[in-house]
Amino acid sequence: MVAVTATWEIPYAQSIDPFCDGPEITQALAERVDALLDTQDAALGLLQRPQYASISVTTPAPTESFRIRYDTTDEDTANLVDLALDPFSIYPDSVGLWLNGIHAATSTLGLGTNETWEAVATFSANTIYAGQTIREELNVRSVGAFSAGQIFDTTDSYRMDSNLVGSGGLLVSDVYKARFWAWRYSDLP
Amino acid sequence: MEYTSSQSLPYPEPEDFANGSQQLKMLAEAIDLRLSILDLGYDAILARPVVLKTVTPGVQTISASINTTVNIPNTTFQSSEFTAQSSSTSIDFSSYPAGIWMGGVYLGTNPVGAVNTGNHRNVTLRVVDRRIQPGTGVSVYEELWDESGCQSNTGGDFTTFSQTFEIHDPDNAFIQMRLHHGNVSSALSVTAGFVWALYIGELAN
Repeated sequence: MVAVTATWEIPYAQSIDPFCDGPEITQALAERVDALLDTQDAALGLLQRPQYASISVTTPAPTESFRIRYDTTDEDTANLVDLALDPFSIYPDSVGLWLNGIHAATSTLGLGTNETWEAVATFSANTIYAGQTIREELNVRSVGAFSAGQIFDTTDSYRMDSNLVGSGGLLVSDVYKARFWAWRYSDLP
Repeated sequence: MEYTSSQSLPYPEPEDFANGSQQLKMLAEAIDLRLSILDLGYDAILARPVVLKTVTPGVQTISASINTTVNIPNTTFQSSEFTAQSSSTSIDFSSYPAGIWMGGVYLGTNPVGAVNTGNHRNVTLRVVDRRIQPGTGVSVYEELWDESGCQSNTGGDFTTFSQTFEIHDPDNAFIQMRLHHGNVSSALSVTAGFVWALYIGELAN
């Protein structure tokens, strides 16, 4: 039985081991260290290049069933976005705690009559739901929201999207500019 | 000599184990080098930059006409948006890495916004970066986010806003804190204000 270190189970040779076992034990040591370094590399890689995506509306367009349709992928480090297949959503690629945020502006200025806009950053399953309502007055036309949610699996039902709702539940006919982002912040507790 | 499949750590073949001490030295040195590379990576994570610039309270007065936007701190009226390039009113990214960032602004003013009068103030995080336009290969300056912010129109005396953004060309990137006056023109005294940015991580490419 080859001896191994207590914590990381790295094999090493002892004086009782036959000399002829030396190459095999040394190979086992090297391969164990190899695997440990791979694990470290993966963890470091996630820290250096986080799972993150941001998408934007650059050409004004109406909401669809209150959802904001995005036309541009600004950044996507982990293939979280495919606007050709789904122009509304960012798809988490792994379980964990994710953060997301939305900021949207309309082209139509308010009339100073206390119009409201509500922007909501949404997790479609198991949501910690966040929204924000801002009174709309002359020349003020933007609204934002921030949200955090736990993702328990990566089936298609777990996606993140965003809504913009006008006063009285009206559809917003002109989303002038919007940006929606998501970032995997940590493992599940 | 053989090498492990992923990290290329050397180990001896049976026929050359007679020279075992030299082989083990090479293995140890390879591990040493790899651990040093990992250390550099972790150091870079632990040293993620965070930038914060504050506005001096009580000293700065902001003046603007109705429906105009000004830099903060900046008492100079801007006749149109996005014309100012003053470095004194921005965070310059030339000493920071390209990557994904999160930033925000906060501004407190006096007097407060009046309830329901439209005396609102929008605070804006203006991010300017230079990136290669997709499909064209042309390098252009791009204002990544603008015309955004929250307002203080219900008697509140502060506004705040935050957003993520990407910096591609740090030598040509900066962010500014700007204020949009609503439909009431007045001079405002800054009671508190800051703009901040923190590094999240590397870009995809």
